[in-house]
Amino acid sequence: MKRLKRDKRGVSNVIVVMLSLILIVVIVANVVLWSYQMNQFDWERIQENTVISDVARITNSSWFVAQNEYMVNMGTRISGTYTDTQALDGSFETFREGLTTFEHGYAFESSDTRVSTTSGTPVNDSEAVLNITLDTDSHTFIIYNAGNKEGSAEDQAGKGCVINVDGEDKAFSWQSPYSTDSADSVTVVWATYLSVGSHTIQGRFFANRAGYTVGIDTRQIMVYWFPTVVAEYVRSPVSVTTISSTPVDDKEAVLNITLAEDSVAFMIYNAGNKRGSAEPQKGKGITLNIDDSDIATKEWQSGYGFQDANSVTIVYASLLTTGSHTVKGRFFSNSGQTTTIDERQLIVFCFPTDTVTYGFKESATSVSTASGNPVNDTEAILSTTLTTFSDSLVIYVGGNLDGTSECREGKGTLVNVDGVDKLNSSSWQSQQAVNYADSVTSLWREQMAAGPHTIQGRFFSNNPGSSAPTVTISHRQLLILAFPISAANYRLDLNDTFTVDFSTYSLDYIETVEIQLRWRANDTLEKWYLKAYNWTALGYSDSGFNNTSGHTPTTGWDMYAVNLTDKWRSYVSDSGTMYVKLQDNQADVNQTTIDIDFLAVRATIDGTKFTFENEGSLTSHLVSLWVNNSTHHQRYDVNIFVNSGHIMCYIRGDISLPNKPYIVKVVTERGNTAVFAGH
Amino acid sequence: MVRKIRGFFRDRRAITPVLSNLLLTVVAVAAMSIATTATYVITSNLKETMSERVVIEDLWLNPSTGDISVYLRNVGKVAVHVSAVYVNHTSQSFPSPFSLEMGEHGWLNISYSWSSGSLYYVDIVTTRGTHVGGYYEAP
Repeated sequence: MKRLKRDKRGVSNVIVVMLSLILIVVIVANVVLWSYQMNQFDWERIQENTVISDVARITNSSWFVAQNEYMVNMGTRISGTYTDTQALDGSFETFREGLTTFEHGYAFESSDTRVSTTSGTPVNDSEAVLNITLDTDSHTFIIYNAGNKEGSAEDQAGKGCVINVDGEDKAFSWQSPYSTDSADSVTVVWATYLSVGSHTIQGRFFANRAGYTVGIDTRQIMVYWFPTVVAEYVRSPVSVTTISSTPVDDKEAVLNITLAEDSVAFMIYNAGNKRGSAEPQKGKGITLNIDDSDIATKEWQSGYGFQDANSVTIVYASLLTTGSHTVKGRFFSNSGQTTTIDERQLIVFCFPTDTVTYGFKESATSVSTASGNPVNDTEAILSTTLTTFSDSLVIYVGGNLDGTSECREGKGTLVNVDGVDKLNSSSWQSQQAVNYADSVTSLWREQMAAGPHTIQGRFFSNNPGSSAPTVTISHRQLLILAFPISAANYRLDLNDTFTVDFSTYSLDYIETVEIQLRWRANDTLEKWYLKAYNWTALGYSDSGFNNTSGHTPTTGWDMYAVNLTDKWRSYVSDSGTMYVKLQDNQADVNQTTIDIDFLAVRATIDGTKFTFENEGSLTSHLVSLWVNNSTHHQRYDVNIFVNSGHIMCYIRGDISLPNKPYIVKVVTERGNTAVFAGH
Repeated sequence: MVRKIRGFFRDRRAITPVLSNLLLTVVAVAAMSIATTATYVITSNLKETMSERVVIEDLWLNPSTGDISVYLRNVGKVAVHVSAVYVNHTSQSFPSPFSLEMGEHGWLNISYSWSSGSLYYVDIVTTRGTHVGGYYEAP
């Protein structure tokens, strides 16, 4: 032990050898390990074996089929599922047209039993009560038109009328006549969304000057309700004034409507001032404005005198196309002096075009009469042919502008249907003085049979025995809305969602989109249409399609295809979603059954499909794609993983193959290259 | 006490072993540092040389420019720096420096007037001595 302790040279040698060995081991281990890693890399690179088995030009994407069950808006699904429509294989899904009556309800009452009051607050018009029961929540409009004829007791300050719903007064309107016991009628309208259940609609009236008698000789009150229509409405008691002699916007009467489909729009605007508000003797006029254009006609009215009650009503009906619209009520002074609106009601109800038959006539041609018996307003006539038994609403508004011949006791109007005067539609109105503005509204509803019908507006002088009995209608509006109630309305309307794969087919390189249907129907008597949801217009449409004339089936298997042309972008959302609809042209008496074998959409492109096969044992990561010919070498970034043994079809809409010969190469992340020669 | 201190400074027998031990320690540490550094340098160079992988994705004898364009991809584990380009064993000019980081790829344009139908051997050499290239026939 002592020798060992003394012999320090041996210890040093051992330490030196140990340190040297450590260094050598570190060097060797580092190199060997790294070499192992790189060898593994090289080995994997050698093992990698990706080939390009095919390169082909493609002009279409694959078909994008329904991924969920079809939504049947009208009709029923009989058998099969949406998966049966995903391939051209003879398996099909069956649908059948369903009975469709436009869901609506109505109640109407007219009476010529006189009632009167001296009350300055609303009292019930006992002849104007409607009890209704709604099966479902519904948009509802109510019109109450009530008046007294010439000679009936009526205070010179006139009366007001109110619509009361379930015990609550909802809307007001006021009017004053030429003088005491002169003709005086009031129209008031209101719309709301009524909930399911029973409701009571009551017409009420009151004297504008409490303690003085006012009365109603004839009235019409109606309520219509629709669970599924697009409806906008406003009632505002905010006062506005103008001295303008040309129409200005009633800023409280503006409605914006968005329609998902072309619709028949029914509009009514009623505006007036109560007694005591600023109002000239010559009164006011109103009109309607649709999408910044005034309609062709106006209506006017004057009251008893300065600051007396004075209201006017105007109606309109027209076809509004899919999209957004703005409807405004406008008013003006008949004399350039301040006129007031204390309350107005503006209502727009829009009905899908296939749910209503409508007729509308407006005219600015003057027609006069001195007769005390109804004569035809030759400009107010509608000839309408109903295809089925229908609930028909008729409104006639006729008025004269200031300065035209008008008996001071005013005029009366009524509606004539197929040659029969509807006496309970009668209404009367007088104005401030001879030849002052004077308008009258008549209202009617009845069920009309299928076939042709003639609707006529008629008018008469309230005082034919006077020295100046002539009355005039300068402008008028006459409309009929007929809602079918027949049982022979079979329709089918279905749609589903299809998604164009923008991740595979880049949005930038899609030229258009096609919709293809293989189907058969057991009825060859009606046309069918493929439509798509227009994301810009917010409705189904075929506008811009290469074929908008529809397809008539043959009872055998038919192909029906449409191309969305360069308008395709309006029909495909940014995420690639398309809503495709198949519907028949219109309701008919035949209950058609259809079988859909295939319904799908695809994109039209000018691209290339590359087929890669990984024949190696490792997953390949493709990072570069080359398309070369003798004059040009083009590289594309790709990021494709192909599992071992898999075949990958890779489609690029932005790559157009050059003319042959060409070479396509794909480079993997490990540095291997696969080549395809197109000769 | 003073006597003891004076004695300590007069006693020269213990200084030599101390100095020699210190000197040996310094020499040993220095030697090991040199050896460690050399090990690091040697292994790093070896690793980088072993790790270098570069491939030619495409070689384009571009008729519109008359040049040779080579698309290189660095598939190795270290950055590569091209030090020389040879066409038919003759050094050619190229935009220098040309480097590719790991996973990077890009065009290397070689100024060379090639003739249609001729065969060319293109050889690209990195600073670590890796060669990549091959024969290419001009279109």
